[in-house]
Amino acid sequence: MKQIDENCMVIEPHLLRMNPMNEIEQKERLTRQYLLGELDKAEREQFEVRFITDPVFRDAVLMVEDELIEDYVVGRLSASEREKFAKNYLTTPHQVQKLRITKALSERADEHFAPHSYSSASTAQETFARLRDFFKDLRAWKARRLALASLILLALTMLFLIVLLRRNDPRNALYQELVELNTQPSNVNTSPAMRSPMFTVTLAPVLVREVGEAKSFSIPAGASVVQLRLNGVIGGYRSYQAVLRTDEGEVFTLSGLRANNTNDGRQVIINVPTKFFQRRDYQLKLSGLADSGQYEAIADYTFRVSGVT
Amino acid sequence: MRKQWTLTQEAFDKLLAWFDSDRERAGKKYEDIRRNLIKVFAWRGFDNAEDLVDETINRVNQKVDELTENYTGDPALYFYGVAKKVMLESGRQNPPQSLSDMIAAPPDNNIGTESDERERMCECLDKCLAQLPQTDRDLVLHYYQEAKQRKIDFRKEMAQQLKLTQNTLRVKMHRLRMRIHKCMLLCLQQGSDETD
Repeated sequence: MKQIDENCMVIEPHLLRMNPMNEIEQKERLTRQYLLGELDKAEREQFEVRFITDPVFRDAVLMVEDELIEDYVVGRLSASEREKFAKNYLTTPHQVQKLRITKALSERADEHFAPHSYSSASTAQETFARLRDFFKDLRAWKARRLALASLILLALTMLFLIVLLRRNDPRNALYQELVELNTQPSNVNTSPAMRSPMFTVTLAPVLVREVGEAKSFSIPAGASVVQLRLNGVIGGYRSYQAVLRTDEGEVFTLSGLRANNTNDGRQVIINVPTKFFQRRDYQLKLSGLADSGQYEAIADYTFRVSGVT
Repeated sequence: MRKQWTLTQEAFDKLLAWFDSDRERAGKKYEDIRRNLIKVFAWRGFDNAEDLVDETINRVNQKVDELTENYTGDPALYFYGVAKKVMLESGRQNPPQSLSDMIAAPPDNNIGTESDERERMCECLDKCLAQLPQTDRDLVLHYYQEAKQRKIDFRKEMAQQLKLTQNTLRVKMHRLRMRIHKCMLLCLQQGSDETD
């Protein structure tokens, strides 16, 4: 028999049965391993048998598959996971198409909330308020339908997923390192991270209609930080924001950056852990936070990492 | 590899009878097996998954009389066994390296085509999002916006802000994604048919 949750959504019985923590954990881990090609032959066949014979497992697998694609699109997979995903999952036109659709959805979300970031966007706040009101109405209608036992199970599931997500995402520490590297006073290298071996690259902005090859460099062995020195910076902004992208999506966004007067003129300096880079092309967009509270585009930079030794 | 598809109505009836005496339940079982096998073939890297599943069903069909009499257990398992043989004979379709590359970097001589495809993709996305109720549309766009903020536990935070359980949010998003994907594939297919 189907149940209705507190938000008036019909919950299939098998989705409720998914709640025991170790079961969810096992399914998620196994599915990701399967899709990333990490299982051996016997495990893979065991997984497939379960997929075609167990509808509960099947539904859970399809949900995790969607979330894995999503994680790839928004850059929440580690470098090695991305590589495995491309090698093992993006192997049929249908699966590539699925990725493209997810990517298009993600880009549409960007357009929808542009030019503000989510945290400050009035559009986003209005959207959230509308969504909250919607679910509030539903709760008022069916609020007490879910049994206490189900609530406890769902809460446990949530707790488990929090732990799982935190534990499994290696980018967390890396991103924290990036933030730490860029919150030090720009010319005072006091933190242990800033004393790391550093490789410095100066980038000139890409001019409109400019033709030619992007700056290319190889990161030498031992360099744990790449310092990008951005030329062509216009002054008069409260702070600066840098967004690093590849053709596949955003790598990171750094806000609150300051400009420095150097021998090469005004520069914005960004320190990036080497682990962020792979052999590929990158685009970096620099924006300035104007007094109006909005970001204005200042310059674009492109470069190619030809090697990471 | 692909042999001619030979499942006649009579053979199909026998197959359904093997699955279940109730024809409706048997039909659903057949659809489930077919759909699941297509997924498995695709995950194994076969871009002609549907053809290979048809071949699998065809082979099972040739033994349906014998199976009805002697086989006990879930028919899906037998299908899987045959599917493995078909996979072995077909060999993995080594995907061209460009399959993942082409997502981000189309060859220069395809720029026009790629641009058309992007345009078509945008049109279809508009159409499919417009078919959703406003609240669902907002939820989808907001979800992807949140996902980009690089918060590790964005699903948890979003569920909290919407006062939903995390599981509810996941299931709801999964259903919305399936709906959008289905609509998009149909829309893109229609566009492709018009172009052909």
